[in-house]
Amino acid sequence: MRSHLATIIYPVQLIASFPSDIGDWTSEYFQSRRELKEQNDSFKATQLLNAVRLQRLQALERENMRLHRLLGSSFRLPERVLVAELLTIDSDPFSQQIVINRGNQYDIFEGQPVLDASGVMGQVMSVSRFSSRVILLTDPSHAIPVQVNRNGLRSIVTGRGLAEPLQLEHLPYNADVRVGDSLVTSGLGGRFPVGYPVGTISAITRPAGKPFANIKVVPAADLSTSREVLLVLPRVDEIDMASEEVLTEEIEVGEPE
Amino acid sequence: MARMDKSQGGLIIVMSVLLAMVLMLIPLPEGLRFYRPEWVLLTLMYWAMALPQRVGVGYAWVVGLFMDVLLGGSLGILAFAYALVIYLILNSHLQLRQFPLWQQALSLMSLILLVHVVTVVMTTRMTGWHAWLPAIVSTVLWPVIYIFLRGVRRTFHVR
Repeated sequence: MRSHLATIIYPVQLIASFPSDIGDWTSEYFQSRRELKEQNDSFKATQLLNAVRLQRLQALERENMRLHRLLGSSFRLPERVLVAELLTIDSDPFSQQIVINRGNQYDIFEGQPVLDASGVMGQVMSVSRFSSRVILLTDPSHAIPVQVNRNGLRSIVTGRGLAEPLQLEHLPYNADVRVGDSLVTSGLGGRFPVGYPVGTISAITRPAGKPFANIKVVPAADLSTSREVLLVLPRVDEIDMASEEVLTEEIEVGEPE
Repeated sequence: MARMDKSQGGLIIVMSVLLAMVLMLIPLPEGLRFYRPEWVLLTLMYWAMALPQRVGVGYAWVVGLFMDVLLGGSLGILAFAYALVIYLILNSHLQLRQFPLWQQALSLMSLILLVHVVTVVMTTRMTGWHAWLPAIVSTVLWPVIYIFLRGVRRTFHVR
């Protein structure tokens, strides 16, 4: 029902996002040659840096796989991702949601994890034919299972609304957490894949008379400024231990608009 | 004179509502987000007051349902709220038409607040004091919208 209505009303959303798209386009088009050159140079530099890191990562991954094989446990396939773009429209200012320009026709499904370059953004809430609605980590009705990267302590991070930090829930006073600890998805609950950064602990207070510590978390993803998001596609299969070519990561990119 | 009785300009009403929807969605700077007037509700209110035989409770309900989808709320909340408000307007549209504009605006403010009360009561979302700002902005803007839509109605002979 909702998906049909959303499909019918999609043109209105497109029109609403048109003015800011035009703005972006013109500022891009009239960018000076020098700026573009600078941008290009910095991209090249980061590309080089990333390539070097990737080499090391591949070696590590191979090693990790060998160790996993020694232990006799299964090794997970790298996830595949699909790139989508935000529609620049506002929703209800009291709920934290965004609309992206990929829907049923790209096999987006409800509950699909959404990432940006630096971490988890949220998950798909409803899908229509040409667009889908994503609920962000900061929405008061969103929760995500996480673990502390340093010691594997598991907990849940919930949203607290616009411009508020996230909250790490249900940890007692003596739990081993420190300011600066990074949190990654734990993969429990089966929605989010394991090991994507969620945020960093920014403040811990222990109010007297409350059973749990009050732990604030700053999200890792750029929730308010990202224009492109990545949708994690479901894993095809747990891989066969013998095959080596799984290390080539498949990245599927939707055509740019 | 038979021509006078025929209703016409339904497309104009639909277009004005669609335009209002676009205005509800256009991104505003961060500081202005809470000052967005209730464009769609104000447009519906005008048409219900001017042409109660055209824009009724059913019309408002359908528009509200689409607004629920557009704003990402639970289905049916705005549909109910809009239908309720338009029902109240239809009940008293003859009085409302007699009021001077500022008095009209104040009466409508109570109805806009009613929509907000309905949404706050029916959802468990956290709201602050700025939840009430759109009602005030809408009230201030009502005379402008009224005069504009009246101009539209007369230009295009909507009836």
